[in-house]
Amino acid sequence: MPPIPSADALSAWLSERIATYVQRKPADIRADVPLAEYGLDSVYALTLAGDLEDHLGMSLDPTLMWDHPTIAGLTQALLQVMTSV
Amino acid sequence: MTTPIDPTSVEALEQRLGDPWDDTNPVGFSQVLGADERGELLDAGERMLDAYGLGAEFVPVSEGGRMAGLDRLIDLMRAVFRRDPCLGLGYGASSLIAAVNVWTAGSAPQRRTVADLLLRNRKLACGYYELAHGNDLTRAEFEALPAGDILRLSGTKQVISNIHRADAVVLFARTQAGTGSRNHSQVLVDLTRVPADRVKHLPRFRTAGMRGVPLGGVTFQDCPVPADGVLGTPGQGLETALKSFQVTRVALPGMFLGIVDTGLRTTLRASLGRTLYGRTVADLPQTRSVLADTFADLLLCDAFTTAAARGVHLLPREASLTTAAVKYLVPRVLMDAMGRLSTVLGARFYLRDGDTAVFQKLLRDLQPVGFGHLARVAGQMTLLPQLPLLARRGWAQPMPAPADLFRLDAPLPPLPFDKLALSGGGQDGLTGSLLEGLEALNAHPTEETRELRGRLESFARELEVLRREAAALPPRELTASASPASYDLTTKAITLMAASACLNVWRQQAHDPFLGDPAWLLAALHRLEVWRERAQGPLPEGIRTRLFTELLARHEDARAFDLTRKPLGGGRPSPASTP
Repeated sequence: MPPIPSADALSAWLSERIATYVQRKPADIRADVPLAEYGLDSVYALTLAGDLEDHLGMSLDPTLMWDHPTIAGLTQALLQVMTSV
Repeated sequence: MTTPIDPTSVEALEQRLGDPWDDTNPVGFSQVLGADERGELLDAGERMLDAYGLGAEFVPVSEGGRMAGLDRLIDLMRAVFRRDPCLGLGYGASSLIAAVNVWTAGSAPQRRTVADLLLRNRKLACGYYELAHGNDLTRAEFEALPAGDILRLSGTKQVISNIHRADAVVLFARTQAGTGSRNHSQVLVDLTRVPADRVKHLPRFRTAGMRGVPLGGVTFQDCPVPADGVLGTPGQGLETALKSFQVTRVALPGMFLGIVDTGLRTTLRASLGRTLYGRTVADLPQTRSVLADTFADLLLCDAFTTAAARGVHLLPREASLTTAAVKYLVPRVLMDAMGRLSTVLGARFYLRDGDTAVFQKLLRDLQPVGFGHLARVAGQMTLLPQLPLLARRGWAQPMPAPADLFRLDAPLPPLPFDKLALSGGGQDGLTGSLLEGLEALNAHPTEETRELRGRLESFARELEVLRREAAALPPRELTASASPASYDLTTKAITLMAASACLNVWRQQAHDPFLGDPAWLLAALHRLEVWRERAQGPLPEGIRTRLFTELLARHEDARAFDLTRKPLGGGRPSPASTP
């Protein structure tokens, strides 16, 4: 398993992915705004979960993104999952 | 034979249904058509299904019911749909659609309540949709907001089957404000206990087909209900819905297949009994070609639904993928088949009286298969975002599905409601089995399989192209606003899954004189290519003759036109009257 990334690195990676997805600049994606506000629908969680699994080398429940719908919340939740494995 | 038949079997249900063409049969076509003209469900049919105990078929064995294999449930309900789709939907499938949510997310007391209701043959309604939002469930506005230990229901659901006579309803409701995917819940509401002054029933909707099924709306005005009606944890509604759909979106098309079985039977019967240009219509090559095509369509659809339905038991993690694929392909093939059959009947498909009158009803009743309880395009939208992961995982290192997926008689474990998942995680055993089947054929090449191997090789090449194209899809192409070219990739993926289902049903039934013959398989693969507009024209003559011969034999023997070849009620058919 790859080393656990820092919160900043993970948050930056998520901003980058989501910015690509909604075709904006990463700087425009705020960490404390629910991702649905950027036009990301419930189905996108499935795609993002797959990307995250490949990035982090672990398997994830796609509903994690539904339970933590901001970048900040998701980052914390992911770190918690990774440190508890 | 003196062994009494199992009173809960499909055969026993067929015996109760009896001869459809007998005018004195209380559940024959004459009575079915009479009820349809009146816009009513056939009362004698409902009482007959009560006596059979059909409600128990929607309750898992673990809850005291008879629901075991999804393939058995489809088979039973297909028998009802062959006779009267209104009974199939209005008596049965509507309750099933609601109940699956309870089996997926309900607590033990909720499951007991619903099991008890269905075992008493009472109705359970399902209120998901709001006309303004269609399949976009996250926009649903109907509210069930918590206030202490109660919920307050407010809003309208316009289109619910059986709402006026159901004992309980599963409502899809917003349990908190805001955007996101955790704001809705399913709420199980006991309609016998809600305060009457807070519930208003709306006038019944009249419909083009399924005229006997009472479709109504309901408005709740600040109506208090116990908060323990929420299925699962509050906010779990979308997740439960997306999991439950995996069961219903394969089961319903599988049941609706029974409509085209009767459509084909009606057309064949009329063609045998009618003389034109000095010979029966069934002797005309063009007629035979259409009838054989339709038979092949039914086998294609049944192979796909059966493999997907068995897959819900055996590969539950992948059910989001396979059942969405079935929902996209099967309804279209069934609707096109009915349209083609109507050309054989000529003007008579239009008549509401006489020996073929049931056809016009079936043609109308079939239509909801395409849009009812999830539109076909929703099937594509489920597949599309999964394509890149499939390209990186399951299609890059294919893993075949277990052989039992395709063995029609192999026992199944109980439906694993707790193992259904929102995404297949990039795995696709069905497509893996396509490659495995091809390898097995190539290991022992025979002249008999030469053409088949050629076709399969081209599917394998197509998978390679699909994998590359899917891997290259940019994120914007994974949403509802994707281009038609991206949607086409889902059609390719669906084609490969359907081809695999047919190939492997053939492989695993090698001992069967008909299903083990490559003729039907080649016919089904040809029809698959016609479906996606890669091929056109009739089946090759040898295959056409083989299928038509089997079709005639089954007609004379009163057997189903699907994979099961089950005997139908009423025995050998009486000839159609000559007009």
